[in-house]
Amino acid sequence: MRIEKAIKRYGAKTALDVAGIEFPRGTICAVMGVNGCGKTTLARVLAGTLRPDEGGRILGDGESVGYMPQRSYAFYGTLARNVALGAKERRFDDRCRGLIKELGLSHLEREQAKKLSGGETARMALARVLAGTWTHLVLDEPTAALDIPSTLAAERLMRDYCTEENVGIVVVTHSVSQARRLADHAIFMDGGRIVEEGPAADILSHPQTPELSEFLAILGS
Amino acid sequence: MLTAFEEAIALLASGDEMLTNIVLVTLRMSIASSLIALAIGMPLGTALAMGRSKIASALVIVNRTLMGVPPVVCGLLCYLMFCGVGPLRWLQLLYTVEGMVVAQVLLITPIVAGNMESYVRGLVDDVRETARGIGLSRVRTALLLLGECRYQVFTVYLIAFGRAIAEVGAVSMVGGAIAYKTNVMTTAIMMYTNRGDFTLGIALGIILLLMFLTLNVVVSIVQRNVAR
Repeated sequence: MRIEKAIKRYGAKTALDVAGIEFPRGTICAVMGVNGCGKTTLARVLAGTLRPDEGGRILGDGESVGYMPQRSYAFYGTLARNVALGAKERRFDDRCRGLIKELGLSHLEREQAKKLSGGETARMALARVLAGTWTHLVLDEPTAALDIPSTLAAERLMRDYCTEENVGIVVVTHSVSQARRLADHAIFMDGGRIVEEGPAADILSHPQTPELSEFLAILGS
Repeated sequence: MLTAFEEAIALLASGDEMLTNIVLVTLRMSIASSLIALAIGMPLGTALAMGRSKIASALVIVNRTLMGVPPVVCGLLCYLMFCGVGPLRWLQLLYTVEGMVVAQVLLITPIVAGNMESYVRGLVDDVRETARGIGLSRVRTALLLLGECRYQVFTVYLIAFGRAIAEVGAVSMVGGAIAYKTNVMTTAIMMYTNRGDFTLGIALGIILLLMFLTLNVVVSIVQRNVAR
Protein backbone atom coordinates (compact mmCIF):
# COMPACT_ATOMS: atom_id res chain seq x y z
CA MET A 1 0.00 0.00 0.00
CA ARG A 2 1.34 3.40 -0.88
CA ILE A 3 0.41 7.01 -1.46
CA GLU A 4 2.06 8.79 -4.34
CA LYS A 5 0.04 11.91 -3.72
CA ALA A 6 -3.00 12.79 -1.60
CA ILE A 7 -4.53 16.19 -0.98
CA LYS A 8 -7.66 16.80 1.07
CA ARG A 9 -9.10 20.25 1.68
CA TYR A 10 -11.94 21.38 3.94
CA GLY A 11 -12.89 24.78 2.55
CA ALA A 12 -9.77 26.91 2.55
CA LYS A 13 -7.92 24.63 4.94
CA THR A 14 -5.66 21.92 3.57
CA ALA A 15 -6.09 19.02 5.98
CA LEU A 16 -3.76 16.69 4.12
CA ASP A 17 -1.03 17.18 1.57
CA VAL A 18 1.27 14.20 1.43
CA ALA A 19 3.27 12.38 -1.21
CA GLY A 20 5.56 9.42 -1.71
CA ILE A 21 4.87 7.22 1.30
CA GLU A 22 5.01 3.45 1.27
CA PHE A 23 3.66 1.12 3.92
CA PRO A 24 5.35 -2.25 3.46
CA ARG A 25 3.88 -5.47 4.79
CA GLY A 26 5.39 -6.91 7.94
CA THR A 27 6.20 -3.50 9.44
CA ILE A 28 4.50 -1.17 11.90
CA CYS A 29 4.42 2.54 11.14
CA ALA A 30 3.51 5.06 13.83
CA VAL A 31 1.84 8.30 12.70
CA MET A 32 2.34 11.11 15.19
CA GLY A 33 1.66 14.81 15.57
CA VAL A 34 -0.39 17.33 17.49
CA ASN A 35 -4.21 17.51 17.29
CA GLY A 36 -5.47 18.65 13.91
CA CYS A 37 -2.21 17.90 12.11
CA GLY A 38 -3.90 15.50 9.67
CA LYS A 39 -3.23 12.10 11.27
CA THR A 40 -6.85 10.93 11.18
CA THR A 41 -7.34 12.33 7.67
CA LEU A 42 -4.32 10.33 6.52
CA ALA A 43 -5.65 7.24 8.34
CA ARG A 44 -9.06 7.59 6.68
CA VAL A 45 -7.53 8.05 3.24
CA LEU A 46 -5.40 4.94 3.78
CA ALA A 47 -8.47 3.04 5.00
CA GLY A 48 -10.45 4.14 1.95
CA THR A 49 -13.24 5.75 3.99
CA LEU A 50 -12.30 9.27 2.86
CA ARG A 51 -11.78 10.24 -0.74
CA PRO A 52 -9.10 12.92 -1.13
CA ASP A 53 -9.59 15.81 -3.54
CA GLU A 54 -6.46 14.75 -5.41
CA GLY A 55 -4.60 11.46 -5.55
CA GLY A 56 -5.26 8.69 -3.03
CA ARG A 57 -4.00 5.36 -1.78
CA ILE A 58 -2.73 2.76 -4.19
CA LEU A 59 -3.24 -0.90 -3.34
CA GLY A 60 -1.27 -3.72 -4.91
CA ASP A 61 -2.80 -6.94 -6.24
CA GLY A 62 -4.73 -8.79 -3.53
CA GLU A 63 -4.07 -6.10 -0.93
CA SER A 64 -6.86 -5.31 1.53
CA VAL A 65 -7.06 -2.82 4.36
CA GLY A 66 -8.79 -3.20 7.73
CA TYR A 67 -9.50 -0.09 9.74
CA MET A 68 -10.29 0.74 13.34
CA PRO A 69 -11.66 4.30 13.56
CA GLN A 70 -10.79 6.66 16.38
CA ARG A 71 -14.27 6.31 17.88
CA SER A 72 -14.91 2.68 18.69
CA TYR A 73 -18.47 1.80 17.83
CA ALA A 74 -20.41 -1.03 19.47
CA PHE A 75 -23.25 -2.52 17.43
CA TYR A 76 -26.34 -3.93 19.08
CA GLY A 77 -25.82 -7.47 20.32
CA THR A 78 -23.22 -9.24 22.41
CA LEU A 79 -19.50 -8.63 22.41
CA ALA A 80 -19.12 -12.00 20.66
CA ARG A 81 -21.46 -10.93 17.84
CA ASN A 82 -19.54 -7.67 17.44
CA VAL A 83 -16.19 -9.42 17.19
CA ALA A 84 -17.63 -12.04 14.82
CA LEU A 85 -18.63 -9.24 12.42
CA GLY A 86 -14.94 -8.68 11.75
CA ALA A 87 -14.19 -12.35 11.04
CA LYS A 88 -14.03 -13.61 7.46
CA GLU A 89 -17.07 -15.88 7.76
CA ARG A 90 -18.75 -13.46 10.22
CA ARG A 91 -18.75 -16.29 12.75
CA PHE A 92 -17.40 -16.30 16.29
CA ASP A 93 -14.63 -18.82 15.70
CA ASP A 94 -11.56 -19.91 17.65
CA ARG A 95 -9.59 -16.96 16.32
CA CYS A 96 -12.16 -14.52 17.76
CA ARG A 97 -12.17 -16.45 21.02
CA GLY A 98 -8.36 -16.26 21.19
CA LEU A 99 -8.35 -12.52 20.50
CA ILE A 100 -10.82 -11.62 23.23
CA LYS A 101 -8.88 -13.85 25.63
CA GLU A 102 -5.63 -12.02 24.81
CA LEU A 103 -7.38 -8.72 25.38
CA GLY A 104 -8.90 -9.82 28.70
CA LEU A 105 -12.50 -9.80 27.46
CA SER A 106 -13.42 -13.51 27.71
CA HIS A 107 -15.63 -12.97 30.75
CA LEU A 108 -17.65 -10.39 28.77
CA GLU A 109 -18.30 -12.60 25.72
CA ARG A 110 -22.07 -12.73 26.28
CA GLU A 111 -22.41 -9.14 27.54
CA GLN A 112 -24.33 -6.57 25.52
CA ALA A 113 -21.69 -4.53 23.69
CA LYS A 114 -23.56 -1.26 24.22
CA LYS A 115 -23.11 -1.68 27.96
CA LEU A 116 -19.34 -2.06 27.89
CA SER A 117 -17.07 0.65 29.29
CA GLY A 118 -15.00 2.87 26.98
CA GLY A 119 -11.87 0.78 27.47
CA GLU A 120 -13.74 -2.48 26.96
CA THR A 121 -15.38 -1.13 23.80
CA ALA A 122 -11.98 -0.08 22.43
CA ARG A 123 -10.55 -3.55 23.11
CA MET A 124 -13.59 -5.13 21.50
CA ALA A 125 -13.14 -2.91 18.42
CA LEU A 126 -9.47 -3.94 18.22
CA ALA A 127 -10.39 -7.63 18.48
CA ARG A 128 -13.03 -7.10 15.78
CA VAL A 129 -10.61 -5.66 13.24
CA LEU A 130 -7.86 -8.16 14.12
CA ALA A 131 -10.36 -10.98 13.54
CA GLY A 132 -10.29 -10.20 9.83
CA THR A 133 -7.71 -11.23 7.26
CA TRP A 134 -5.93 -8.20 5.86
CA THR A 135 -2.67 -7.31 4.21
CA HIS A 136 -2.72 -3.91 5.93
CA LEU A 137 -4.32 -2.50 9.04
CA VAL A 138 -4.94 1.14 9.92
CA LEU A 139 -5.56 1.73 13.62
CA ASP A 140 -6.51 5.23 14.74
CA GLU A 141 -5.47 5.65 18.37
CA PRO A 142 -6.35 2.06 19.25
CA THR A 143 -5.08 2.31 22.83
CA ALA A 144 -6.14 5.87 23.73
CA ALA A 145 -8.84 4.61 26.13
CA LEU A 146 -6.83 1.74 27.61
CA ASP A 147 -4.95 1.36 30.90
CA ILE A 148 -1.27 0.35 30.85
CA PRO A 149 -1.69 -3.46 31.14
CA SER A 150 -4.37 -3.43 28.41
CA THR A 151 -2.19 -1.17 26.25
CA LEU A 152 0.75 -3.57 26.54
CA ALA A 153 -1.49 -6.56 25.74
CA ALA A 154 -2.86 -4.72 22.68
CA GLU A 155 0.65 -3.84 21.51
CA ARG A 156 1.70 -7.49 21.88
CA LEU A 157 -1.24 -8.55 19.72
CA MET A 158 -0.44 -5.94 17.07
CA ARG A 159 3.19 -7.02 16.91
CA ASP A 160 2.23 -10.71 16.68
CA TYR A 161 -0.37 -9.97 13.98
CA CYS A 162 2.20 -7.98 12.02
CA THR A 163 4.94 -10.59 12.26
CA GLU A 164 2.97 -13.84 12.03
CA GLU A 165 0.64 -12.77 9.25
CA ASN A 166 2.98 -10.40 7.43
CA VAL A 167 0.61 -7.47 7.80
CA GLY A 168 1.58 -3.83 7.40
CA ILE A 169 0.16 -1.85 10.32
CA VAL A 170 -0.28 1.91 10.51
CA VAL A 171 -0.92 3.14 14.06
CA VAL A 172 -1.97 6.69 14.80
CA THR A 173 -0.73 7.51 18.29
CA HIS A 174 -0.05 10.40 20.61
CA SER A 175 2.31 8.34 22.70
CA VAL A 176 6.01 8.67 21.94
CA SER A 177 6.78 5.77 24.25
CA GLN A 178 4.29 3.59 22.38
CA ALA A 179 5.86 4.55 19.07
CA ARG A 180 9.29 3.62 20.46
CA ARG A 181 8.06 0.27 21.80
CA LEU A 182 5.94 -0.72 18.85
CA ALA A 183 6.91 0.94 15.60
CA ASP A 184 9.57 0.12 13.06
CA HIS A 185 8.94 3.33 11.19
CA ALA A 186 7.54 6.70 12.29
CA ILE A 187 5.94 9.61 10.52
CA PHE A 188 5.61 13.02 12.14
CA MET A 189 2.95 15.33 10.70
CA ASP A 190 2.29 19.04 11.03
CA GLY A 191 -0.26 21.17 9.17
CA GLY A 192 -1.36 18.24 7.01
CA ARG A 193 2.17 17.53 5.76
CA ILE A 194 4.76 14.95 6.67
CA VAL A 195 7.51 16.91 8.34
CA GLU A 196 9.81 14.04 9.22
CA GLU A 197 9.87 10.30 8.73
CA GLY A 198 12.28 7.46 9.19
CA PRO A 199 13.07 4.51 11.43
CA ALA A 200 11.18 5.12 14.67
CA ALA A 201 14.20 4.60 16.91
CA ASP A 202 16.24 7.12 14.91
CA ILE A 203 13.86 10.01 14.42
CA LEU A 204 12.43 9.82 17.93
CA SER A 205 15.93 9.88 19.44
CA HIS A 206 17.58 12.27 17.00
CA PRO A 207 14.94 14.50 15.43
CA GLN A 208 16.13 16.45 12.42
CA THR A 209 13.39 19.08 12.28
CA PRO A 210 12.49 21.84 14.76
CA GLU A 211 8.82 20.73 14.70
CA LEU A 212 9.55 17.19 15.90
CA SER A 213 12.23 18.45 18.35
CA GLU A 214 9.69 20.83 19.87
CA PHE A 215 7.02 18.10 20.00
CA LEU A 216 9.38 15.73 21.81
CA ALA A 217 10.55 18.50 24.14
CA ILE A 218 6.98 19.37 25.15
CA LEU A 219 6.34 15.71 25.96
CA GLY A 220 9.61 15.51 27.86
CA SER A 221 10.81 12.76 25.59
CA MET B 1 -70.75 19.18 32.66
CA LEU B 2 -70.58 16.59 35.45
CA THR B 3 -73.80 15.03 34.18
CA ALA B 4 -72.34 14.72 30.73
CA PHE B 5 -69.31 12.91 32.21
CA GLU B 6 -71.55 10.55 34.19
CA GLU B 7 -73.58 9.82 31.06
CA ALA B 8 -70.39 9.25 29.09
CA ILE B 9 -69.16 6.68 31.64
CA ALA B 10 -72.57 4.96 31.52
CA LEU B 11 -72.40 4.92 27.71
CA LEU B 12 -68.94 3.37 27.85
CA ALA B 13 -70.14 0.73 30.32
CA SER B 14 -73.19 -0.13 28.19
CA GLY B 15 -71.09 -1.12 25.14
CA ASP B 16 -73.14 1.15 22.86
CA GLU B 17 -73.23 -0.17 19.26
CA MET B 18 -72.49 3.18 17.61
CA LEU B 19 -69.61 3.86 20.00
CA THR B 20 -68.11 0.40 19.42
CA ASN B 21 -68.33 0.86 15.65
CA ILE B 22 -66.59 4.24 15.78
CA VAL B 23 -63.79 2.81 17.92
CA LEU B 24 -63.31 -0.19 15.63
CA VAL B 25 -63.21 1.94 12.46
CA THR B 26 -60.73 4.28 14.16
CA LEU B 27 -58.48 1.40 15.18
CA ARG B 28 -58.64 -0.21 11.74
CA MET B 29 -57.73 3.03 10.02
CA SER B 30 -55.03 4.16 12.48
CA ILE B 31 -53.25 0.81 12.77
CA ALA B 32 -53.27 0.21 8.99
CA SER B 33 -52.08 3.70 8.08
CA SER B 34 -49.39 3.91 10.79
CA LEU B 35 -47.97 0.47 9.91
CA ILE B 36 -47.90 1.22 6.17
CA ALA B 37 -46.30 4.61 6.85
CA LEU B 38 -43.71 2.92 9.06
CA ALA B 39 -42.93 0.28 6.42
CA ILE B 40 -42.37 2.95 3.77
CA GLY B 41 -40.93 5.73 5.93
CA MET B 42 -38.26 3.75 7.78
CA PRO B 43 -36.21 2.58 4.79
CA LEU B 44 -36.89 5.91 3.07
CA GLY B 45 -35.56 7.88 6.07
CA THR B 46 -32.55 5.58 6.34
CA ALA B 47 -31.79 5.99 2.64
CA LEU B 48 -32.09 9.78 2.93
CA ALA B 49 -29.67 9.81 5.86
CA MET B 50 -27.18 7.59 4.05
CA GLY B 51 -27.31 9.59 0.81
CA ARG B 52 -24.46 12.01 0.20
CA SER B 53 -25.40 13.36 -3.21
CA LYS B 54 -27.04 16.70 -3.97
CA ILE B 55 -30.17 14.81 -4.98
CA ALA B 56 -30.32 13.22 -1.52
CA SER B 57 -29.96 16.68 0.10
CA ALA B 58 -32.75 18.02 -2.12
CA LEU B 59 -34.98 15.06 -1.20
CA VAL B 60 -34.38 15.74 2.50
CA ILE B 61 -35.64 19.31 2.01
CA VAL B 62 -38.67 18.03 0.06
CA ASN B 63 -39.46 15.52 2.81
CA ARG B 64 -39.13 18.16 5.53
CA THR B 65 -41.53 20.36 3.59
CA LEU B 66 -44.01 17.48 3.28
CA MET B 67 -43.78 16.94 7.05
CA GLY B 68 -45.49 20.28 7.50
CA VAL B 69 -48.31 19.82 4.98
CA PRO B 70 -51.61 20.77 6.65
CA PRO B 71 -53.93 17.72 6.88
CA VAL B 72 -56.75 19.56 5.14
CA VAL B 73 -54.52 20.21 2.15
CA CYS B 74 -53.70 16.50 2.00
CA GLY B 75 -57.41 15.74 2.40
CA LEU B 76 -58.28 18.15 -0.39
CA LEU B 77 -55.66 16.60 -2.68
CA CYS B 78 -56.99 13.09 -2.03
CA TYR B 79 -60.57 14.30 -2.46
CA LEU B 80 -59.73 15.83 -5.84
CA MET B 81 -57.99 12.61 -6.90
CA PHE B 82 -60.76 10.27 -5.77
CA CYS B 83 -63.90 12.32 -6.51
CA GLY B 84 -66.21 11.66 -9.44
CA VAL B 85 -64.19 13.78 -11.87
CA GLY B 86 -60.75 12.99 -10.38
CA PRO B 87 -58.05 11.00 -12.18
CA LEU B 88 -58.19 8.19 -9.62
CA ARG B 89 -62.00 7.91 -9.43
CA TRP B 90 -61.80 4.34 -10.80
CA LEU B 91 -60.23 3.28 -7.50
CA GLN B 92 -63.55 4.14 -5.78
CA LEU B 93 -61.79 5.21 -2.59
CA LEU B 94 -63.83 8.30 -1.75
CA TYR B 95 -65.84 7.86 1.47
CA THR B 96 -64.14 4.57 2.30
CA VAL B 97 -61.82 3.56 5.12
CA GLU B 98 -59.23 2.56 2.51
CA GLY B 99 -59.33 6.09 1.08
CA MET B 100 -58.82 7.49 4.58
CA VAL B 101 -55.83 5.16 5.02
CA VAL B 102 -54.30 6.47 1.76
CA ALA B 103 -54.70 10.07 2.97
CA GLN B 104 -53.19 9.20 6.36
CA VAL B 105 -50.26 7.36 4.77
CA LEU B 106 -49.52 10.40 2.59
CA LEU B 107 -49.57 12.59 5.70
CA ILE B 108 -47.63 10.34 8.06
CA THR B 109 -44.94 8.78 5.84
CA PRO B 110 -42.89 12.02 5.56
CA ILE B 111 -43.07 12.38 9.35
CA VAL B 112 -41.80 8.82 9.86
CA ALA B 113 -39.10 9.29 7.21
CA GLY B 114 -38.05 12.65 8.67
CA ASN B 115 -37.75 11.27 12.19
CA MET B 116 -35.78 8.27 10.97
CA GLU B 117 -33.58 10.48 8.81
CA SER B 118 -32.60 12.77 11.68
CA TYR B 119 -31.97 9.82 14.01
CA VAL B 120 -29.97 7.78 11.49
CA ARG B 121 -27.95 10.84 10.48
CA GLY B 122 -26.47 10.89 13.99
CA LEU B 123 -25.32 7.29 13.62
CA VAL B 124 -24.50 6.88 9.98
CA ASP B 125 -20.91 8.14 9.98
CA ASP B 126 -19.77 5.96 12.88
CA VAL B 127 -21.61 2.89 11.59
CA ARG B 128 -20.43 3.34 8.02
CA GLU B 129 -16.82 3.99 9.05
CA THR B 130 -16.78 0.97 11.37
CA ALA B 131 -18.54 -1.31 8.89
CA ARG B 132 -16.27 -0.36 6.01
CA GLY B 133 -13.27 -0.80 8.29
CA ILE B 134 -14.13 -4.46 8.75
CA GLY B 135 -15.07 -4.99 5.12
CA LEU B 136 -18.87 -5.20 5.35
CA SER B 137 -20.88 -4.69 2.17
CA ARG B 138 -23.17 -1.71 1.63
CA VAL B 139 -26.26 -3.90 2.01
CA ARG B 140 -24.98 -5.39 5.25
CA THR B 141 -24.10 -1.89 6.48
CA ALA B 142 -27.61 -0.64 5.72
CA LEU B 143 -29.12 -3.63 7.54
CA LEU B 144 -26.85 -3.03 10.53
CA LEU B 145 -27.88 0.61 10.51
CA LEU B 146 -31.56 -0.36 10.57
CA GLY B 147 -30.79 -2.75 13.43
CA GLU B 148 -29.20 0.12 15.34
CA CYS B 149 -32.51 1.98 15.08
CA ARG B 150 -34.65 -0.73 16.71
CA TYR B 151 -35.19 1.41 19.79
CA GLN B 152 -36.10 4.43 17.72
CA VAL B 153 -38.63 2.45 15.67
CA PHE B 154 -40.98 2.29 18.64
CA THR B 155 -40.79 6.02 19.23
CA VAL B 156 -41.41 6.69 15.55
CA TYR B 157 -44.35 4.27 15.56
CA LEU B 158 -45.87 6.08 18.53
CA ILE B 159 -45.57 9.36 16.67
CA ALA B 160 -47.14 7.80 13.55
CA PHE B 161 -50.01 6.16 15.42
CA GLY B 162 -50.60 9.29 17.52
CA ARG B 163 -50.82 11.37 14.37
CA ALA B 164 -53.12 8.84 12.68
CA ILE B 165 -55.55 8.50 15.55
CA ALA B 166 -55.69 12.21 16.35
CA GLU B 167 -56.00 13.52 12.80
CA VAL B 168 -59.32 15.00 11.73
CA GLY B 169 -58.91 17.26 8.67
CA ALA B 170 -57.90 14.76 6.00
CA VAL B 171 -60.06 11.87 7.21
CA SER B 172 -63.21 13.97 7.37
CA MET B 173 -62.70 15.22 3.80
CA VAL B 174 -61.88 11.80 2.33
CA GLY B 175 -64.08 9.70 4.61
CA GLY B 176 -67.02 12.02 4.96
CA ALA B 177 -67.71 10.87 8.56
CA ILE B 178 -70.47 8.48 7.47
CA ALA B 179 -72.07 6.74 10.45
CA TYR B 180 -71.28 3.01 10.70
CA LYS B 181 -68.87 3.36 7.78
CA THR B 182 -66.21 6.04 7.94
CA ASN B 183 -66.95 7.92 11.13
CA VAL B 184 -63.86 7.84 13.37
CA MET B 185 -63.41 9.15 16.89
CA THR B 186 -62.08 12.58 15.98
CA THR B 187 -64.68 13.27 13.31
CA ALA B 188 -67.40 11.93 15.63
CA ILE B 189 -66.27 14.17 18.51
CA MET B 190 -66.46 17.18 16.20
CA MET B 191 -69.84 16.16 14.79
CA TYR B 192 -71.50 15.45 18.14
CA THR B 193 -70.04 18.55 19.78
CA ASN B 194 -71.43 20.68 16.93
CA ARG B 195 -74.81 19.10 17.60
CA GLY B 196 -74.54 19.88 21.31
CA ASP B 197 -74.40 16.17 22.21
CA PHE B 198 -71.46 16.19 24.59
CA THR B 199 -72.01 12.74 26.11
CA LEU B 200 -70.76 10.74 23.14
CA GLY B 201 -67.99 13.28 22.51
CA ILE B 202 -66.71 12.98 26.09
CA ALA B 203 -66.97 9.17 25.99
CA LEU B 204 -64.95 9.12 22.76
CA GLY B 205 -62.42 11.54 24.23
CA ILE B 206 -61.94 9.24 27.24
CA ILE B 207 -61.49 6.20 24.98
CA LEU B 208 -59.03 8.11 22.77
CA LEU B 209 -56.89 9.02 25.78
CA LEU B 210 -57.09 5.51 27.25
CA MET B 211 -56.13 3.92 23.94
CA PHE B 212 -53.08 6.11 23.56
CA LEU B 213 -52.12 5.56 27.20
CA THR B 214 -52.38 1.76 26.73
CA LEU B 215 -50.32 1.89 23.56
CA ASN B 216 -47.67 3.98 25.30
CA VAL B 217 -47.44 1.51 28.19
CA VAL B 218 -47.20 -1.50 25.84
CA VAL B 219 -44.58 0.18 23.66
CA SER B 220 -42.55 1.25 26.71
CA ILE B 221 -42.50 -2.34 28.01
CA VAL B 222 -41.50 -3.76 24.62
CA GLN B 223 -38.91 -1.00 24.17
CA ARG B 224 -37.35 -1.77 27.56
CA ASN B 225 -37.09 -5.46 26.69
CA VAL B 226 -35.52 -4.69 23.33
CA ALA B 227 -32.99 -2.35 24.91
CA ARG B 228 -31.86 -5.06 27.34
